[in-house]
Amino acid sequence: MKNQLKQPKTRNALRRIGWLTALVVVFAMAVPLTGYVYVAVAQDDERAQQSQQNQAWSGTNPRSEVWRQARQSYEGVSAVDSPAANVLISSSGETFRQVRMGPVSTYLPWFLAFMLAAMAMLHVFTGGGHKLGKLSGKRLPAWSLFDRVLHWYVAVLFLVLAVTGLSLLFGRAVLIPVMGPEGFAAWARASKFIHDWAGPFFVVGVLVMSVAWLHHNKPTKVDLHWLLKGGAFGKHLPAGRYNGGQKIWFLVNVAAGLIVCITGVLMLLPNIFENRELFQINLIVHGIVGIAWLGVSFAHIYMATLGAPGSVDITTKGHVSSEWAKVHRSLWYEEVKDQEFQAEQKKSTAS
Amino acid sequence: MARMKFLCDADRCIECNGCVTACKNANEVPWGVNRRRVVTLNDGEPGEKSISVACMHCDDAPCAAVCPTDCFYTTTDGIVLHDKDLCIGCGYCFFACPFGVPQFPEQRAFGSRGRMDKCTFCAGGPEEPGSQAEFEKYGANLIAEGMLPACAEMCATKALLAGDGDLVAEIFHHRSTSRDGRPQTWGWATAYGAGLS
Ligand code: HEM
Ligand code: SF4
Ligand code: SF4
Repeated sequence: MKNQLKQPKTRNALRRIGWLTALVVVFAMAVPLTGYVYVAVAQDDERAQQSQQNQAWSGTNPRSEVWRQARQSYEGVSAVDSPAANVLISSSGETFRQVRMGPVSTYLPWFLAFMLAAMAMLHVFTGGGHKLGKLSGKRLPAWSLFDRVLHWYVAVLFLVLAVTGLSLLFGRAVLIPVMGPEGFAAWARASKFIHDWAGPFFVVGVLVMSVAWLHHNKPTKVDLHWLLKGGAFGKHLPAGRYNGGQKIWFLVNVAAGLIVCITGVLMLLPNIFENRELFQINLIVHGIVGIAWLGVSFAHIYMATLGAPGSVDITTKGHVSSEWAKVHRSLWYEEVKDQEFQAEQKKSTAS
Repeated sequence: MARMKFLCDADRCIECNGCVTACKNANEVPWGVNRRRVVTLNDGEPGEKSISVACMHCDDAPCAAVCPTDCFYTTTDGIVLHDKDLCIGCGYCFFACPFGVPQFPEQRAFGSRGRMDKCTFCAGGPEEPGSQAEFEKYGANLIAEGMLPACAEMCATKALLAGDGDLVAEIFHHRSTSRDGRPQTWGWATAYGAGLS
């Protein structure tokens, strides 16, 4: 009996629970859908606004803003941690390419060719430097051992740096056809290695030279006269121990040395100084000034060899013939001849 | 011939870095080298956008133009690849690339960087396709197996598309024009203003 009475009750309860559950489920499914209604309404609003905006052409497209930022090298955030990883596009890369492969690769070789041609012309038109004829054996001491070592230390490194540096810039055009891609790659790898390691030694040499030889490179009126009257073009004008041309060459070494060495060192230390823009500018400036310096050095080399035979003795033996000094350094010759000849004589009799 | 292109849909990219991971996994690139990266602009602000970027396989590639050893080449599919045997690690390509793509395994003083590594569009390099040598130097060659780059295949939101440039453009065109609530991304009025005709 009890059981019979209870049964309808439990059935009712179950039915109620069933209905409630269904209701909850329906609500649970329907309520989130109102979001769509909201979104639709909002979008209608947005669309209405947008079309008004479009008609007035006043709105900026938010997406185009992002791409504009990307194009203008805005810095963002990236999980990747490497140099410049947080910048999407940097136009300076293309500028670097155009400058290096354009004017730099075009005009610098022409400048070198111009300097070579100019020296050849000078040689032809002046008929070469003054021939000293038979030497008396009298000589003037000129350079200490320190000066001579310093000169060749800097000069050899200069030429090594020039050859290896030029290989990096022009080897692709000039050497690949000769050596083939593999052969040139091996040479280029060696060039880079030598250039990178010779650089710092060269920097030291240039610094020491700039200080050690500063004292005898002060410009004088005689130098100005020498330069203005064309001393560089084979005329034998009065000159002291160093002439105007040499002092300019010294100045070129100090100035170009400073620029080439600073840009070079900055490129060598990637962890401290290197960023993309700095490296791009450095490489361009380094190449231009380095090669300009090389071009000017052709003049120095010509003058010290064919342009004035006998000069090289100063850098190798440390002394120079009195005949040379009489022709090329008349003032110096007059100033020192007596005492120096005697000193030399003593030395040669002693040894 | 197809011209292979990547395209990242900034409206879909969620900065999950799945593409970066897929790339590292497929190509087994060394530590510190990332052939792909995701950049988020205006991070944390309303309207922030993320874009996944790797080599764009430029038509007239700046990297190739400045390389001292001329070690780049473009495949018939328009993929820019390079020969690591010729690379001297000078870094010029990194300084020329507008997208900061070329990567170097080392960053030490005296400019020693090791040989350059970059995205290959999963097309390997100048070795026998599918060979061990190719894999070790350049990573996977999925293109030779008829597949697409691992990054785009992995992308969960299909933000990153890779393949024939025409097809990719078509897909993106379709997306942009049919994207609801974004009528301003495409069309005459967007390009020239509604008042102009
Ligand atoms: C006689 C002096 C020098 C000349 C003529 C010279 C010339 C050059 C040239 C032509 C390049 C290639 C530029 C290009 O490819 O665009 C170069 C690159 C370079 N030079 Fe010099 N350079 C000289 C001295 C130095 C010095 C003193 C240093 C460092 C202390 C230096 C460090 C570098 C570096 C780091 C590079 C980049 C190459 C690399 O490491 O991959 N150079 N140089
Ligand atoms: S590395 Fe940079 S410059 Fe070279 S093809 Fe790729 S995106 Fe273009
Ligand atoms: S790092 Fe290698 S690939 Fe890049 S420019 Fe230098 S030699 Fe060429």
